[in-house]
Amino acid sequence: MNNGKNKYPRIQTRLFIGLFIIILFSSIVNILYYRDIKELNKVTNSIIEHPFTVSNSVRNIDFYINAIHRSLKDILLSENEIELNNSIDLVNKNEQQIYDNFEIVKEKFLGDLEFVNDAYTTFVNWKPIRDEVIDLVKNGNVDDAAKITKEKGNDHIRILFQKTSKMIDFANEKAASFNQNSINILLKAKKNFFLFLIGSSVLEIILFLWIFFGISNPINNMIKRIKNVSGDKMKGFPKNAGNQLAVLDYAISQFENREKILEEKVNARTYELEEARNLLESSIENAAIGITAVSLEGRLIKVNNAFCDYIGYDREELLKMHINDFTKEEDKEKAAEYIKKVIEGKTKGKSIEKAYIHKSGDIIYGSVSTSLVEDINNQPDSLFAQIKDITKQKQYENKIEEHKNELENKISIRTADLDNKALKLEKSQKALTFLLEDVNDIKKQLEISNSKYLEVNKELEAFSYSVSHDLKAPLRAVIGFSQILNEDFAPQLDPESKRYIGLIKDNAENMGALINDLLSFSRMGRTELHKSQIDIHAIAQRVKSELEPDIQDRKLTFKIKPIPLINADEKLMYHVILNLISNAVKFTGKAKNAIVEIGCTSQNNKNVFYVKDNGVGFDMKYVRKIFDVFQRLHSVEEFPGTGIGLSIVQRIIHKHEGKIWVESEKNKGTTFFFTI
Amino acid sequence: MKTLEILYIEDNPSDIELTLRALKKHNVANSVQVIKDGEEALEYIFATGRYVERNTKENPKVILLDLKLPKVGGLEILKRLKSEEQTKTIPVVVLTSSREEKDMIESYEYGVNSYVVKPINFESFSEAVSALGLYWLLINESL
Repeated sequence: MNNGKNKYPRIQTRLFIGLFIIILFSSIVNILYYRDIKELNKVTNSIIEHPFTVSNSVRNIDFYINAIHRSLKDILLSENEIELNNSIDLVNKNEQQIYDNFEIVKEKFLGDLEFVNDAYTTFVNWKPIRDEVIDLVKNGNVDDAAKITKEKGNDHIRILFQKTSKMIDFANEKAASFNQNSINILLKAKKNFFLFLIGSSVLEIILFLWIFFGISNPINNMIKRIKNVSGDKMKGFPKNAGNQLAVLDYAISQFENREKILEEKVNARTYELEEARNLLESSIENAAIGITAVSLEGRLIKVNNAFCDYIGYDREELLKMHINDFTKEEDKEKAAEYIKKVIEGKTKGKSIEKAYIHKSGDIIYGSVSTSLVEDINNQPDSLFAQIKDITKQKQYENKIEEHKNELENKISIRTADLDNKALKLEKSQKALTFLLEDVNDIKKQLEISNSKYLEVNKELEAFSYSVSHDLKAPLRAVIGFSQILNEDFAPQLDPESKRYIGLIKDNAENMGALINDLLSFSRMGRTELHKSQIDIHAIAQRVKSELEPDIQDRKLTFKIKPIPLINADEKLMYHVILNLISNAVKFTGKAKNAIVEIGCTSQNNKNVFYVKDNGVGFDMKYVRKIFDVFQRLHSVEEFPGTGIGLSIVQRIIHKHEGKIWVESEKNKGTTFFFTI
Repeated sequence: MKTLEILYIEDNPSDIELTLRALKKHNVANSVQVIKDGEEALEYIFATGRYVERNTKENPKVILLDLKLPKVGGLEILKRLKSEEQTKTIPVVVLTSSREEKDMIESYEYGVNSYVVKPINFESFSEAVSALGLYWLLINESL
């Protein structure tokens, strides 16, 4: 319709143009018609004014001439003077009438005036004849008078009549000519009228069609389009036979309704969308996993709470940052490569692991899964990343790796110690290596997924089960047969041989202790916590009484201070206390007045338990090694032990989500602290 | 001694030798039958297969059972022993290197009479074995 509006005049304009043309046209025709009628009127007037008047007057002249002629006869027949005078008066009167009529004819005659003057002269010439006759009668000469009248008079009248009749003919001729003229005008007017009728009809039809199509085509198009658009949706559509404008009116009202409904729907949908958006926002906001929106250049656009907590910065700081600002230097290239692949659509939901730098400076690890957000033109717009905190997992992996390495190192050292005297021992060493490979496998499985943790746990169980059975049997054999050698072949053996046998036995026993410790270390990792309210003070008392038989010959003072109840696993905490106190007892072996103190202090509203001794202590530069498996800071000759005890203690404390640390000074003493 | 006194089920030859030596010190080694795999042990106990001709009336007075055995495990043997009417009265002493609680609990659930964790040290081991073996031997004999 927009194009039509420019191409064709509006309907109102069409109507005005039509009306204007019709008024103009009829005005022109009326003017023409008026002109014709005016002309006709003029012609008719002319007929009445001239030929008709002339003809009338000439007939009057003829009439008065006859009257004079009769009066003249009366004069001839008059018997007395009175009669004679009366007749003469009558003749005079009639003559006067004739003069008057001639005056009219002269005025109105349209032809040659010679005609009129000739007739007039002829009439004037009558007067001497009439005077002669009257004189003769007066003188009594009636006969002569009669003779003149008869001859001269009659001739004269005849001539006069001839002339008047010519005038009448001319006037009639002129009237006929005027009449023809008026008929011609009438015919012309009729013809004009007829042409006007046809012309105006044609014009009106054209105008009608022009306006009709100007209106009907758009209306029909509109209805067609409304039907197309509405389809079945518009119920109760009036039949096509009805007034189209009514249909349009109905359609418009329907459209209004529909628009209203649509608007309501749009509002409802907008509300739903808003709700969904809020839900999404809050789920993102409160998700347990870190979620960020990042621009294609790597600037942060949005972060959730979990991510803020994870990375340590608050929201305002993060929104000014680039991801490289907290990505570990070595991982920047990897991260950039990954983002490039995501934008190119080559990753298909793969995630990467990368290291971040926490605000505190700590290195933390995350598993990042990034997807691309496109704008409405399917162009890359931003990135949506989910970051899972795998720091603990990583630390665990690292620890396992560390422990594995340590185990491998230590075991190979111990293996060398045992030499190749016990063939079985070697075999079991191999078994251990295989089992360590199993551990390696298990570690890999751990890396693959946390869900496989239980499976791994089972394998670990099987592993320690095997260790407890298979590793100990050969040791038992080594020790047993060494014993038998000593018992049965003592006489044949020289002291050096006996010493070697003793060494074999000691080492094997040492290996047995190692295996037992290792087993309890590994078991500790798998044991579930059974927490209850426990009394550390009572446990310390119990440990003290258990240890007392071994230290009867030493001067050692136990100081057990009051300790509050705590919620922990009793069995495991017993192990912790036993280990720490045994350590303290062991490393105060050389002190003259050994003191072992167990107690509890408060730091930052937290209970900190401690076991303190005044033993040999150690250099604090080795403090990081003290909790490592097999790590020993003293030689076995000096203080015996396997180096696993503190690892087990640390593991138990960590299992309780507590912390353990140590302060020491060489030759002054050592204090272990822990929280639960 | 004619009658069988001890059935010793164990696959580790060193352990067997050491155990037999310990028993010998207490003069019971002659009446010890040693079987080295689980399947054979079951055949012996229930007189099937290779031992189909064994007189089932002469059951051992005590069974020393290792848990880790080829083919059929010690726990399985224990379960079978304690679920059969004819064998459930035989005292069973489980000898194992395992300190696993699971094994211990399972053994007691099946009705083990004693549970000995084999120490590494041979002396304590032989003492434990001999003492327990003899204890059950005597108990059984007196019944």
